Parts: sequence; structure tokens; C-alpha cells
Amino acid sequence: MQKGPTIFRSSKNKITGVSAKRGSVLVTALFFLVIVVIIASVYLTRIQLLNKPLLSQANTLQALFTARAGAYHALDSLENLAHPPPGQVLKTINTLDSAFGKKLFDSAAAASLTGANDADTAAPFNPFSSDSFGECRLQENYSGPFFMVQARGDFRQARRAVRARLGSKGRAYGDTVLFCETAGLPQGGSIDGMVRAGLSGNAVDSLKKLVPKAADALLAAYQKELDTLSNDSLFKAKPCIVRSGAEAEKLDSVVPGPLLVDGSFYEIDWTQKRRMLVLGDLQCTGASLIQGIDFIVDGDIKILDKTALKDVSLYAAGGIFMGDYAVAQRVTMIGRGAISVYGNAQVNDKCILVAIGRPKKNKNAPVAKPAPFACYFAGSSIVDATVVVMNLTSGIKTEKSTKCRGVFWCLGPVCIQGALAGVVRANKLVACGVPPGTPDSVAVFAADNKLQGSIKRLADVGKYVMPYGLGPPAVIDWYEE
Amino acid sequence: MKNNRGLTIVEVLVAVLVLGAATMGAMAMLRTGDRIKVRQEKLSTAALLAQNDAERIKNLAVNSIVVSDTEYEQTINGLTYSIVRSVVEPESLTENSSGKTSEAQISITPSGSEDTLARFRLIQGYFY
Repeated sequence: MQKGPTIFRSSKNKITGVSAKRGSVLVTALFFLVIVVIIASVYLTRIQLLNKPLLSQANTLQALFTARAGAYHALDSLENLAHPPPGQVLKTINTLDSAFGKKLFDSAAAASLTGANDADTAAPFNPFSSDSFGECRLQENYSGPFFMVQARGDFRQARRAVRARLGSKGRAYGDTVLFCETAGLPQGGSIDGMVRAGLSGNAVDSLKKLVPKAADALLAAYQKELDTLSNDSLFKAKPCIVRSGAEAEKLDSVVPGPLLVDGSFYEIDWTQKRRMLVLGDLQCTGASLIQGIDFIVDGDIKILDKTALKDVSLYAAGGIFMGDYAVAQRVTMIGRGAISVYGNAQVNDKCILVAIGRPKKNKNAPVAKPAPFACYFAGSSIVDATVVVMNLTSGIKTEKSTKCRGVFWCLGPVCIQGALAGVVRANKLVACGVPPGTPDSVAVFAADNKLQGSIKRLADVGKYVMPYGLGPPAVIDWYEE
Repeated sequence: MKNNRGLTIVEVLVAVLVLGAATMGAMAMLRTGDRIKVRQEKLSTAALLAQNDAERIKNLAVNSIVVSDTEYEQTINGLTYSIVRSVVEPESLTENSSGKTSEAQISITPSGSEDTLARFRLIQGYFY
């Protein structure tokens, strides 16, 4: 009878090979040992790999909570700077003081409050009362007329981020369609809705102090970069003309002179997610489709012919002019000078138009008095937007054939000759034009407290957002990633 | 030639010992793997429950309902978990705070267990 493991027996019942020798059982056992260890290791590794996401799920959730906590911490501080608790108001803050609200726009204070312009260089802090739940870094910057707070939460190996876009409160208007400082109902015109006239007191005084500061902060956010580039003598060049999307896409992020996007010959489709600095005027003509681009322009912006802008942000150190058949959808326009929409131009989909009414001038140019109207809508144009004028004296004017929807907000006069569905906040309503025989310098308005056109209620007026700095901060958008 | 053939009792004993040890080791690894798997699944469930509670807090905040201490149970995959939410008195935020935030801790414990499975800390703001 031969001995040895059955599996090593041949069909003739004879032991063959290594198993027929002494020590073969040990070798066989070691062989099985290796197999078993490999199988077990593979199983264990597989379990760990498969469950790693489950384990990181808890860490990731805490990282998200930490990021959220950081964002709320920033909001809490900004809210406190804008509207301190009553006890603090009595002790330290007088809303009539010219310093009121200063910290809200003081970048140094904001930087120490919310971190830095770059999340990687921001100092980490613990938003909780216990230090076992990770740390947070905050980043803050302007995003158009809004303020963006970005919080990054780190917990163990997990990292999450929260971005909050802040505007201003004041989006519940009820059935009121007109808020004005002058007393009494306006004469003429047609008003479908309630009127709140005779605004006065601390709220108005505070606004008059906040608005110039908000405008300064907004200008500083854009103008600093432009001024640095335009003061450099190397950056002066002749106009740059692009006649195709492909050509436009190859442009550097700084155009050292005027930029002309010319779709007069063939249609242009320029769709890119990028930021362009133009050290001159920007003009778009012909059939140009421009999508997703942020333009910061050290001059005027002219959007003409059949130009279509979608999801675009515009900042002009001068004025912004839209005419002909140009169309803007989901566009943010910030004009240091005036904003004009005329001809058959259309501003659609709740755009945001902010005119500061203080265009950049040459050093030698005389200081001009702000124009009575910083936003001017004429011809058969259609405007669906939040329209804000950020200075103390300028207002908004519409002509007879214009149709507007949304919010008109300013501290100056508003002249509505056409139709508006939405809400107006103004110093007063006026009838436009100079009465015959009156010198221009004497009378700008034909009559005060007079409406020539119509104002009616708009059901979704609460969806028109207000820029940051015109009141207590409000969360416009909240992104988690 | 004859001495090289066949098995000795020593060989068999050593082989049995080696295979036995290997089998026991492998079983231990498999048990460890199973324990890890079960714990991680529980942790995942805890994260899910905490996330649900955080969403609940967020929804309440929309109506300016301030977060408060609470305790409730929830059963998932046949296992019951106790969810304890407790409001934490803010220390770091008392200075320069508008009072529009609440800090809370969510603790998840499997029923019948003394050990807390996971703790999460969050801050909810009321800026709506």
C-alpha cells in the first residue's frame, strides 16, 4: 500500500513526483498555508477597500458641517457689523454716525473677519466650541454686485466647501409698488398697488451713509486691478478686433487696448468660462453670441446690432450702452458711469443693472455734477431686471415705449413714462423733460411727485435680488461641494 | 532510495499544526474583516441619520424655529438607533455674534449599546 495524499496518487495507484518523498507533506501544507493566507488577505483588503467610502462618508459629513459652520460664522459677523445687537448699538454704535456700516465694506476688517482672498493662505480657525470637529478656512471676494463667502471645512482626511453668495435683504414688498421719500400720492399716471410715501428717519439716513460706501467697495474691487494695469505704460496698444469665436478664444486675459467683437460679416459664437480685462472700450457689433465671460473694462461698453449676451458679467469704468436689437440674458452690468438701454434692445431673465453714476475721468477733466439719471431706458427697449443706482442724487428714467419689469432702486428721482411691473424705491417720482422756456441748468424736471406712465404689481417681484451692501446681508445662493 | 519514500509521523504532525494555525489565522482575519464591515456600515448609517437630522434643523431654521434638545429612535435594516441632539452653548461666538446661530451636537447610538457610534457637531444660521 502506497502512502501519501490521495490527490497526488496516479490512476495506477502509484505515488509519483515530489509527494512520493519524505517532507512532501510539509511542502504541501506550506503550499495550502500560502493559499489560505492569500485568500484571507485578499478578503480583508477587499473589505477595507469596499468600506473605505462608507468610513469617509462620516468624515465627509463632518467636514461639510464644519464648512457650513464657517460660512454661518462669517454671515453672523457680517450681520453683526451691519446691524449689531441692540445692547451694542446703545453702547458703541450710532447709526447716524458717519462711521456706521464702515466695517461692512472695510476690506482690512473683512479680511481679518473672514480670512483672505485665497483659501489656501487663510488662517484656519475652529468654528465650534470644541476643537475635535475639524477646522475651517474662509475666503471672501466680490462677485459682481454680490459678496461671496467661501468656507472650506477639513476634518481628518475629508474636505468640503460651502459658497454663499450674499446680497441684501428687502425682498418682501407685499402689495406695495412704490416707496418714496416725498409725502403724498403722486399725481397722474396709473398705479396698481399700494404706495408708501414720506419715508424718513434713521432708515433713510442710514441708507444715505451706506450707499456711497457700498459703491466705493464695489469700485475698489474692480478698479484696483484695472488701474494697476492701465498705469503701466507697457500696456497701451491699438484696438484689437476679433471676427470669429475661435480668434476670440485665443485672446489673452488682458487686452491692452480697446476690443471690438465684430460679427458684422459672419456670426460669432464666443462661449468660454473666463475673465477678460480690457484696457480700453469694449464694443460688440453684428451677430455676436457671447456666453459665460466676465468682462472688466477700463472704458465704455457698447453692445449693439444683434449681439446676444448670456450669463455674462460686465464692469465698465465708463458707461454701458445697449442698443439696436441686442439681447442680454442673465447678465450682470455694473457701470461706473451710466447704463443706457435703447432702440429695440432687451434685457431679459432678471438681470442686474447697477449704475454708480461716477464715470472715471481724466485727471485734467473738470469734476462733473452727477447726471440726474444714471439709468436710462429709451425707445422700444424691454428691461427685466433689478436696477440700482448707487449714488445719492441720480435716478432712473424710462421713456414712453419702454416696458420694464422688476425693481427700480435709487436715492434720487425716478421718471417713469412707460410701463413698469414691479417695485420702485426712490427719493421722488418726477415728470421728465424741461418745461419750455426754462434754462436746463435751472429745472431738470418738469414736475415733482408726478407719474407719467404706469406702475403695477408683479407676482414674482421677490425673486429680483438686491446687491450686497444696501441693507443687512441676505443669502442669495448657497452652494455645497 | 527506500529512506526517501513515504511519510513520517513528525511530518504529518507539523503539517497539521501549520494548516491548523493557518486556518485559525485566516478565520481571525475573516472575523476582523466582518467586524470592520459591520462597523463601517453602522458608521455609514450614523452619517445618514445625522444628515437627516441636520436637514431637519435646516428646514426648521427657514421658519426661524430655533434648534432644541431632542431624542428619538429610528430603525434601519432591522437595527434601531438612538439619535440625540443637544444644543451646545456657544463659547467662541459670543463675541461679535448677532445671536443668529445655534450650535448643536448630534450623537448616534445603536439601541442596547452604551457606546456612541458617532458624534457630529454643526452650526445652524438663521439668516432667511
